Amino acid sequence: MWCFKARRQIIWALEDGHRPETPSALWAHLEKCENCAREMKRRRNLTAQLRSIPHAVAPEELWPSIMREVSRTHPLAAGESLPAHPLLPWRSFPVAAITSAVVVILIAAVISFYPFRFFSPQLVSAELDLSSYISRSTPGSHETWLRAAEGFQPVAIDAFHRRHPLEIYHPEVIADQFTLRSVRVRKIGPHDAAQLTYSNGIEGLSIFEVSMDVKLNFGAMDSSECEVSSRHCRKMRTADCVLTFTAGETQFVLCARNHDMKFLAQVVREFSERYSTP
Amino acid sequence: MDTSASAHSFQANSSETERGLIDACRQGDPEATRRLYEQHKDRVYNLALNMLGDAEMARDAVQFAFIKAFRGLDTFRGEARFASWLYRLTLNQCRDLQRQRRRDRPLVPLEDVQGTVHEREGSLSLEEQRAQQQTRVTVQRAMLELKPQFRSVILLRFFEELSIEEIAETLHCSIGTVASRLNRGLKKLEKKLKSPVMRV
Repeated sequence: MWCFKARRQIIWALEDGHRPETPSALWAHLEKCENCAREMKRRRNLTAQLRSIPHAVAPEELWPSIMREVSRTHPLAAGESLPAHPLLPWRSFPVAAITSAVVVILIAAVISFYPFRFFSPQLVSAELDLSSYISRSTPGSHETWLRAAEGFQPVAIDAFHRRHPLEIYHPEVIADQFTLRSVRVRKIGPHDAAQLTYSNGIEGLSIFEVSMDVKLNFGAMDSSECEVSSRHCRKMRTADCVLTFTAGETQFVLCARNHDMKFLAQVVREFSERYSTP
Repeated sequence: MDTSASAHSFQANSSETERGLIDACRQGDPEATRRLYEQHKDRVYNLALNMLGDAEMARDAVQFAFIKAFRGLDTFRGEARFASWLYRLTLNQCRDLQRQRRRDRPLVPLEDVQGTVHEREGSLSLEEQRAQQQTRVTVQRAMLELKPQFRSVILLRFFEELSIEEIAETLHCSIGTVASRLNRGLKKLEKKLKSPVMRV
């Protein structure tokens, strides 16, 4: 057998052993031709690398929208109907639905033009709800945070300082060569918060810098007190590492996939020292 | 990652109930629809994620593929496996989304895709984990540079563990074409991984 032909047939011999499609001439050739045997070995290594790439898990939120779309055009079995939503009895009354929508839009428009006639800043909830960002059992909180942050415009640091009273620390590079990727602003009640995202090309981490006036809400997440770099911290029991700590007038929420406490201590120390300096 | 043995046992188990589930879905049984979705969602998502390299678009592709599949169940004649049919729908959606992306938006950095995977290297040191992750990122990045026709057969063969015959059934082409695409695809992938840009 010629090398050219052998290489074209190598795919059959790769991992399925002695399949009937694999001509015996190929095996005989591989035994005596070093170059083709090397090629075969290289291919085996490559396919092993491909197989080592971990499988992703489909996000949970896909199913409801699929079902909604499917049931819109695919009626359920005879006698069954979609369970009536207790708050949407007008599903079968389009006129009522349209009228309600118009009223809601009008109210929203009026409130957005004159917000302070309706809400004083003190009445607006100053709570940062982090429970929806944090995954209890599977890694990926950082990505959830990134996705959530995508809804907010990144800002240049100068512009942030001009427009927002919150003083933020935003080093370009922190421990382990994590480099600043973006700074985004969030309004939490009357207060500002900044979300910094860092990446070292392999992993990412997010840091929230929030005024002490904002209440951090972790929902039903378990947490434990701990000390990191002689700083009092709270650690959430989640798949990703979520630490909170305070320094000066600012509280920090650090979400990282890196569970190495030495690394996290370096980040906490860096941010704390900056704020502890008079 | 699943071994090929577990993948085949998965297929055997699922094929026992699959026909019944499909029939129930056709009757409009929401529970059967849900179960059929649960059986295939991760594999379909993986295929879309690795085809597109973008978690957001992969979610769209999965949604469209399943919606199309459930709406079109009456046209599924059962000559091929349901999974093959679903993979084909997913690949078509990926192709459409890729065309759209070329028009509308740039690629999302691959690092942003990494977070959705289940990590399994609990026993490895941090350096080893990083080295492994770096290798994976490099391989995935090289994969994304392959033409879709090569990428799809490699994904179906080495990620989804489909046999060459099953890939041929999925893509509606001959076994020889699949084998040839696999051969050429792997050769191109090897070449890309050797290039200095990929070895960074």
